[in-house]
Amino acid sequence: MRATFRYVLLTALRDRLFAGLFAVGLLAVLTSSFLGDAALVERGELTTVFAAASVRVILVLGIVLFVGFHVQRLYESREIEAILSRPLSREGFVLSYWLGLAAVALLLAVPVLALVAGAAGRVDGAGFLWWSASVLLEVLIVVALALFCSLTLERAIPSALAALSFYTLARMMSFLTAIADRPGMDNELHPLVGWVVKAVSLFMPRLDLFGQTAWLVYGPDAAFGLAVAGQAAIYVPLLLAAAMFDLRRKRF
Amino acid sequence: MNARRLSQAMLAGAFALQAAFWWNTRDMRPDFGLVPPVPTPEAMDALGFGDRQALYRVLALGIQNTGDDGGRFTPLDRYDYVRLGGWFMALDGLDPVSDFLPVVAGYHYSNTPKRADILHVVTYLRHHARFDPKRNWRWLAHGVYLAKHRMRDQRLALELARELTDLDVPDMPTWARQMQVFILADLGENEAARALMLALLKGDPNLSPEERNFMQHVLTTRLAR
Repeated sequence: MRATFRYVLLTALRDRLFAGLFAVGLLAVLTSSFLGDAALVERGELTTVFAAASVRVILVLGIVLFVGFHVQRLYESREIEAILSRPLSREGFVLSYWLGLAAVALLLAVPVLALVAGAAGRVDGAGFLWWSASVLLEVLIVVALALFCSLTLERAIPSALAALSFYTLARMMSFLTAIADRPGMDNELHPLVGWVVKAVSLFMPRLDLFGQTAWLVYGPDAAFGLAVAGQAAIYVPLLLAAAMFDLRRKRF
Repeated sequence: MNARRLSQAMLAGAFALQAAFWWNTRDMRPDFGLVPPVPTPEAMDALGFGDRQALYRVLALGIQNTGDDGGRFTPLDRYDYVRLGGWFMALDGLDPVSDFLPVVAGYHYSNTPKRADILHVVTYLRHHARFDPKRNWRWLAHGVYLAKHRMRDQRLALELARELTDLDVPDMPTWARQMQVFILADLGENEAARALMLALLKGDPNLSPEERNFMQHVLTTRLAR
């Protein structure tokens, strides 16, 4: 596990991931500050919300791309075969890689989140801690998601597209189910579409509950906190189990 | 024809086509528009991706700047205030606590010279105040001011002032409750104004001596029988 962490960390440093993401995050925060100054009132709140929302997206993008290209390199150089030839089960491989990637992703996320704290004009302290915690939990889910997609698809671009599409759908799922539940839709296909949407929602994480910028402005909401923690505790093992199942079926 | 001549012919032909395309589309410009159509609640849910606060801030900043972007400066009398009113109500649904939109509506868009348009701002401020009267009664007071002094609609101002007086807000300052008195006086309903002022004077044992003196002064001068 330590060897995996060191290897992933070295790869991230070699790819200048930390510097790159920090620079893009800083740019987003500065842009948010500029936009916030354009507001008539509540400039601090606007800066904080813009910075937080954009930093969250930048983190997700950066992590998905890093994991995708990292795993692609493993396949291209056949390192994955070399690793699996050792006395390490495929399940152990998935778990150790997730732990290593998650540790690096958390190391990556903390300074970027600190940028939001530094740039925030007005922020609720407890709300910022809750928001940061929920974003860090989201990072853990995104790492597992990106790992699953990249181990399955083996190439960086399709796995990144799949992971980002899944992420987008997960954030929109509550809206889609609300539409499906709306009565009175004058459409013969509506009941069928509604069932399909609900069936899909069964497998989707509620990422729309994570990273609520309202917490930064108005303080945390305890009900959301439990839901966020519970969702992460359920979905990370689910994704890792799916990755293990798929890797078990692969022939090298 | 050899490959070189063919590629030269292709280049010339493509450039000629591009020139023709440019000629036919040179007058097609983006329509910046002033006030865009109000999105439905479902559309706003979709656009938010689960983060309503971020969507509120983005859209509210857009409404603040609409018409004054892209190097333009647009007089307020050219705005579609029916649409603006729709935007105010829609965005209030995303964040009914923030004061950002009431400030934009009450202090910026209320400066239109068209009195009929100010009604949409007043209607929004009234709606916003009702959400949390203890916190937002000031916006109803601002609505009274806009109705009385900008719209010159004393009846509407009186209606709003009555609503303000009747709010269950224990720490509302006396001047807010007194707005109804002065509007009644302006309408020539001095008896009603006297009765209300007397009720306010007797009903609050915590009035400061200065406030009491002022109210008695009004009763004995402006509202004297």
